[in-house]
Amino acid sequence: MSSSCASTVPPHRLWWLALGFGLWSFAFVALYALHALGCAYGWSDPLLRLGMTGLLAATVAALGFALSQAPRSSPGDGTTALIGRAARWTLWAAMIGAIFTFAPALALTACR
Amino acid sequence: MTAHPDPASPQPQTDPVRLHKELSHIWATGPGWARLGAVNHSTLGLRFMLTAAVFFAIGGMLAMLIRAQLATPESAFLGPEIYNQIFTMHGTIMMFLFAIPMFEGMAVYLTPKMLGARDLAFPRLTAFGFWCYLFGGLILILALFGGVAPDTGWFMYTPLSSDVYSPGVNADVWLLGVTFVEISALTLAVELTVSVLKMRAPGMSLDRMPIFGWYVLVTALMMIVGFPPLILGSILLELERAFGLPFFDPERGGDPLLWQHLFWLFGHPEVYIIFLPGAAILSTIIPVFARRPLIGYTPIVAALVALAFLSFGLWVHHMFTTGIPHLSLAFFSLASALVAVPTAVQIFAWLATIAHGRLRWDVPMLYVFGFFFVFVLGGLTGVMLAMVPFNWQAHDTHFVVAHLHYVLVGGFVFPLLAGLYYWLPHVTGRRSLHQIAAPAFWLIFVGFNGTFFLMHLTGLLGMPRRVYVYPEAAGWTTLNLISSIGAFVMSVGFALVALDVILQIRFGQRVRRDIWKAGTLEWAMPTPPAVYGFASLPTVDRRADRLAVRPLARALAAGDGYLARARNGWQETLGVHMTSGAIDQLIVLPRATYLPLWTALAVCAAVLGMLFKAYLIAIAIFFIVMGLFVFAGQSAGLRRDYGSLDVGRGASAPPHTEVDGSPPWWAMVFALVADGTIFVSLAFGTAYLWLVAPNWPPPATLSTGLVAPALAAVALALGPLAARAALAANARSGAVSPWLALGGLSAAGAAAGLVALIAALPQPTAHAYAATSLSLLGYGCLHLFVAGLFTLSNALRLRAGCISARRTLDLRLTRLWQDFTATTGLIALALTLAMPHLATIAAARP
Repeated sequence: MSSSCASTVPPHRLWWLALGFGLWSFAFVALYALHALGCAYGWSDPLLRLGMTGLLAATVAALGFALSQAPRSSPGDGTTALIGRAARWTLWAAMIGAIFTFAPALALTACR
Repeated sequence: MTAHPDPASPQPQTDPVRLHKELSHIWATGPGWARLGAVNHSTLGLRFMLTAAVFFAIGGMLAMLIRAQLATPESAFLGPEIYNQIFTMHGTIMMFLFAIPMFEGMAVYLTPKMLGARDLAFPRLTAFGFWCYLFGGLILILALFGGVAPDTGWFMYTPLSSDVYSPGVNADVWLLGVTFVEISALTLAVELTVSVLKMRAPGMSLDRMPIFGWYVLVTALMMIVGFPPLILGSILLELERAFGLPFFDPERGGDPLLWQHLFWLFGHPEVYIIFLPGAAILSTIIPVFARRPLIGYTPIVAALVALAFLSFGLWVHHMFTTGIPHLSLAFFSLASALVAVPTAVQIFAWLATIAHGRLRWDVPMLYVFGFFFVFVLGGLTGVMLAMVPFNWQAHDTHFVVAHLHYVLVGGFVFPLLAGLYYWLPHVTGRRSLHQIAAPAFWLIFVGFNGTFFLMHLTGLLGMPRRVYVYPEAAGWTTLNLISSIGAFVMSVGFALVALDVILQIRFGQRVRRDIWKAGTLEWAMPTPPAVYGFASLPTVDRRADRLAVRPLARALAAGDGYLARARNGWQETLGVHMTSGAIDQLIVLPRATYLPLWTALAVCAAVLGMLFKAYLIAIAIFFIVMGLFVFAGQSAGLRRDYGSLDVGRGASAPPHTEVDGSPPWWAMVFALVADGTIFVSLAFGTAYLWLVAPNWPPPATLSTGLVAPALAAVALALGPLAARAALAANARSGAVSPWLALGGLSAAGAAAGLVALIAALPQPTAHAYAATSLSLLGYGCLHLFVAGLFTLSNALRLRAGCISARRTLDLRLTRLWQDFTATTGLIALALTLAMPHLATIAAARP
């Protein structure tokens, strides 16, 4: 087996591309479910809000941790660099997206 | 993969003419009836696109009938029953029979060519997908001609589509026909995903892949996750209609909103599944006409990933008026606004590419211009509709009709027409007669805006969707009349495009390859392409949209690449490492066969059996279908070990049957992702009804001892162990059969345990609790049945010599399936046992 080609990047590193918005999606569905659960069972407003705020904080923390562990993009334009850059951008975008989309939980009326 | 020849390496072939003849002989589809056995991606891609174009024409004619009806107030042109069928079928055809299959056809035709492979990973699956699409579409169209077409809107909301309000066969036609078509979508999605990841030209690492490949990959992955919720919803609704299982009936613990959730979990990603192929065309064409490389390759890849996830996160924005708490609406409203960002990243990348290039105008660029104008307007009204207060005002009005047409026609049809004019010379070897192409564009552009721009105003004036008449006093008459005139102008434009295509095929000026001076691999072959695609496979040493195509094409035709030989009558192409593009296997593809046609016909018969309520016949045919799949498996792979084989240019690789990461392995992984999504959707549905639906807790719950659950749990856990033991025995050349038998017995034992639990459930028609439990257990039983088929197939292939210590694919696929079955089966079992306790908690809901 031989051919001239770029350096080999393990396929599992592709998961980094999906990690940021994968976490966002999981947290988003969890937020929706938590809200539905709280409203269905009549949780008190502070308790429900605390839960949703905690979820936002946990999501931001998880994305921040992922960012600290994300592959560094080396100079050049190889696959490593592509995955590194794209992964970091999507992680940052997911974090900003999480704060943006979850923010109403901090201020709006919980169940109406 | 039917040939079993001598493995000795043949002599290198360097005579281009002889190479062409030998490869043509191997890859050709026979004449006459043999054409029905075609599995070649070029042939099937064109068939997909042609069929989709015919369905588009039918859908367009229905649109003209709608516009004729609405041109004047109180029109007596169409009655309400036929009007309901027409608008339902217009939407259904355009979404399910035109847009998705057209993307599939385009991807099937172009992907291997652009990535430097000779075909897709599973040619028989391509053919099976095509026939399923064709037969499913025909069922829907024949129902239309028979006057029994679906008539409850393309999104089939319950309770309108439930048997109480739609007692005829119309809704069943939709549920069964569309699900049949979706088989095609899922099979193609799996195939495209695997092909992009594993079947590229040597050296084509992911960062060298043309951006088109990234779009196909992301779109296919979205389809793998996006379509299963709809398939599950359709099955549940059909079960409700046919057998009275009350998933969506609020009087028996169901909830109509569950249908909306399942539908829009598919329906919103669907919008992007349709837009991304259009964007793929734009990202490919614009750099060619701007005469500079695409700006923002990596940001576009990141934007695609973001868009793929975000598009799933806004399904509820179609449900803003259903009474969901305001806070949840805020989450989805903001997510809906957020999705505009990755879309805008692409638009700005295209604009920047144009701005920094030296633009060359030709017909494709007219449609690119049309795209920018129309799609950006559609995107802006999309942001308007994402805002809850505005959405409440505009909901179910013609404003929404205008918005969705601006998005879908702008995001898919305009780019598609750009792609048509760009790649048609590749298909025909001729170029367009521009005297017709330009007027056709302007008729479409002006007609489209004349139709739909005014619909924004009609909608803001309050005209609701799906009404067949409106009073003259409403003040909508002039706007509707102009919209109708615009629609007919647009259809004249489409007719001119069709005429232009026919004229090009018949009289177009012959052209040399690569007429646009593009840098992508599909132009490095003769036009029209040979059946084998590339006479030899290229090495890629830079991004594969910046290639010197003409010299490369000459070199490849002369055999100066990989696999420049005809060996053993094999249809050969190369498999590569997923990220680096290093050669890691020689893939031997199956040749033309009628098996996909027969299998699709059998599936069609089963669907018709269900449609006509002949359930015993349908079940019998289901077993035939399963038998055909097992039979198809028998002719797969190679019947002996070959070791490393010469692939040319001094390289060698083992056949795909002797490596770990072969395409079938990855196909199984992605198929299980789709299957897992169905399971998660079912679990979501169960939890949703428990949490939200009225009339809970149920009057009776599961009453069982420990024996049946214990039997099911132990036997479910035994399956994966038996599969591992079979693999271990095979590796040491020991006896595999006993472990296969144990795997089969464990599947039977687990199924017996689950069936005992089903028997212990209360009447499943009485309450949604029992219906969902039955579905969970039935899901497990079905997978155990398939696990039994895997075991049977393994045994047959072991006896036929298709499995050896080197060729372990069959056993590894079985292990995957057993793992999945055990995992989902145990979760289903746990959920079923937990539901009686959870149901009592439901009583505490205020």
